[in-house]
Amino acid sequence: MRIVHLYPDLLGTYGDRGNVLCLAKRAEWRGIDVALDAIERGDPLPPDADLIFIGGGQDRAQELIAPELFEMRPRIAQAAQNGTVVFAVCGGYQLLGTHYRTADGDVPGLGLLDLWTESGSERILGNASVECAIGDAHGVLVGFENHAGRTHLGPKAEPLGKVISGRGNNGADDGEGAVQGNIIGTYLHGPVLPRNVWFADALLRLALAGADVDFPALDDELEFAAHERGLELARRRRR
Amino acid sequence: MSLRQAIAGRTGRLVGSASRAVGFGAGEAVTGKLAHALDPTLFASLASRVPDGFVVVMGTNGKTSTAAMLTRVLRSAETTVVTNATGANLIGGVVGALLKAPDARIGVIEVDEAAARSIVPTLRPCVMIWTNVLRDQLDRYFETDVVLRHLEDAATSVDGTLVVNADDPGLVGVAERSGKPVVYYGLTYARAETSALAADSANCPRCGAPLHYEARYLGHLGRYSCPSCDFKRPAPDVAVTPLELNGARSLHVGVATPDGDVDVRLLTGGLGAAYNVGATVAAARLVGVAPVTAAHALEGMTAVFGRGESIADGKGVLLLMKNPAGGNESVMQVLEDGFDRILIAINDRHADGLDVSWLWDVEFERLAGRVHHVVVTGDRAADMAVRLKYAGLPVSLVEPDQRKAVAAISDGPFAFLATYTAMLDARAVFRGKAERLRS
Repeated sequence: MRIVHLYPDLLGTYGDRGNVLCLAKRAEWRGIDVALDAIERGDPLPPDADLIFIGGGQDRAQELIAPELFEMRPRIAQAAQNGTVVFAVCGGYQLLGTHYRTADGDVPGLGLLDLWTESGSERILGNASVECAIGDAHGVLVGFENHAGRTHLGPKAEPLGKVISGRGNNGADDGEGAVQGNIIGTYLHGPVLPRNVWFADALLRLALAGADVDFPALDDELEFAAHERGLELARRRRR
Repeated sequence: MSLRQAIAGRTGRLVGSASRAVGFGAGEAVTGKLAHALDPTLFASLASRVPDGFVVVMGTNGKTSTAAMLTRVLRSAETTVVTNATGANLIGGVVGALLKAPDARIGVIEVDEAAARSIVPTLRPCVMIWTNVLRDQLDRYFETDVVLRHLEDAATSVDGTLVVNADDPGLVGVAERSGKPVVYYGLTYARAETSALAADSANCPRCGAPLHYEARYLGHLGRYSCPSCDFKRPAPDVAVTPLELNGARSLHVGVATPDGDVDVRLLTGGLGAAYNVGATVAAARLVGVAPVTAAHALEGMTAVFGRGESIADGKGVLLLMKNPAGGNESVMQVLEDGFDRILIAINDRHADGLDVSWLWDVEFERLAGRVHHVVVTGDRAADMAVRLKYAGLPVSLVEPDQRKAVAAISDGPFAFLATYTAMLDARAVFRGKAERLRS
């Protein structure tokens, strides 16, 4: 399978690459051949990606990369329609929305998810947990949220999950992240997949849908321990 | 000093010694915090009594070590120095240090970037050193761009010269805009193995184009130029050439300055230390200490406060690891020293940063096949173990109790990589005070 990491140099502030490492290793451990492509500025999007990952960057990095991402937009949309899974975290998640509202006006997003974002007065920051379902799997996601945005979903997108602990999309409606077809986004930033390997496996199965591959269980003792620790940290945080 | 200021200082000192007595560690910050709360005018009054003014050290990595080096140099030149030596770099730590050294002629003060606004305008520094802006505790500072803005803001209070790391393009961009006189220091070194990860400021601060690197030393520090405008690394006034890098144990550098070339041998290691020597020699020149005097004072200097300290009867080396760049540097030191055993302690307390996502930006992959015995400990031992598993390293033991973890690794020589509070715990373990710290 082919996993594509978009602009790891600019969109990868918080160990976001942990997500693609996790996906690639878990596929390899099951005997699946994996090509992991890091796409940097000027590189074309490979036409046969099974999964595209987009991380978050600093404000300035996101401004720098925006023109290229817009150029790439039709190809990402086409890929998603053909079954490619698109997974984005934090800043990458915001970029997939229709726009970001600032004091100076609206900055357009890629419009691949029906949602928009505005700035909140205080930063949302801390350990969080979210109950969610994806494909035929369901469980709890643990992670760390750190953003000033307040994201509002339109009718075409559904929340990825329901906040158990933390603030989620906007601190008001209990929703966290978004799903629209094969396109999935979350504010849980950085290495969210290695802490939630059930979710990593669900993304892999979605990306491999239709392919005839074995998908045996792995020894996840260490990953379960890290997940448990995440649950405990989220419980300790005040809402 | 007014009566109120005197009472505030005295009360603060009493509470500070009480804090030290019950084992909360360095009482200075507690002393200062309370004294400052009792009388906010005390700080300005104390600062005005330091006749030769202040050298302020800022940046994400190397503040404590650089301040220690410069203090050692100034003291060797028979100057009385006030300094916040233990890394207590918020307002309490600074006021506490000033209270403790009322007769100092000059101050060497490290300042936390986020606390700069409450400290630097009062100190009106004659010299301000900027070490680097690497990714550090992002959940506190949010973004390195924000840290650069804090520095830009702090520069407006400088009545003198900026001493700036020429190898950090973000810092150079801010220094150029500040309009202040700038003295640059940097490395002259072609290192074969470097990590392209943790490249948090590799874009041109003038035009935004990706910078071209001829050499990359540590994170985004290196020899760079912009392909689309004329921004490039300024030629350093003080250039440090590592002549011999012996992992965490020792370092021999040559330092070229406008006043001649000198050699320095330290009993601590790493490229971070080489940068700190450059900053120290450059700042010392500005306050009237010649490079040859500075080099002489630095000769044989050992590590400060957990930065490459020798532990467990010399069997272990303690390496502070608080962000991706520092982590990658520690990984290189483990390789250079040829350690087969490592102990890693990761905490997520306030001083460490609550978010340990950065562990995935450290290239532990480089240690696969080279390190065969790994023990992890600390509040986030489980997350560290997962990181190492995906890096292809065997995790022999996950042991939350640091004392037991040390016992499990110390059969042979080992490197101990630790976050800030884990490093404090480790120093206590080796001094037999762990129980007191934990309670």
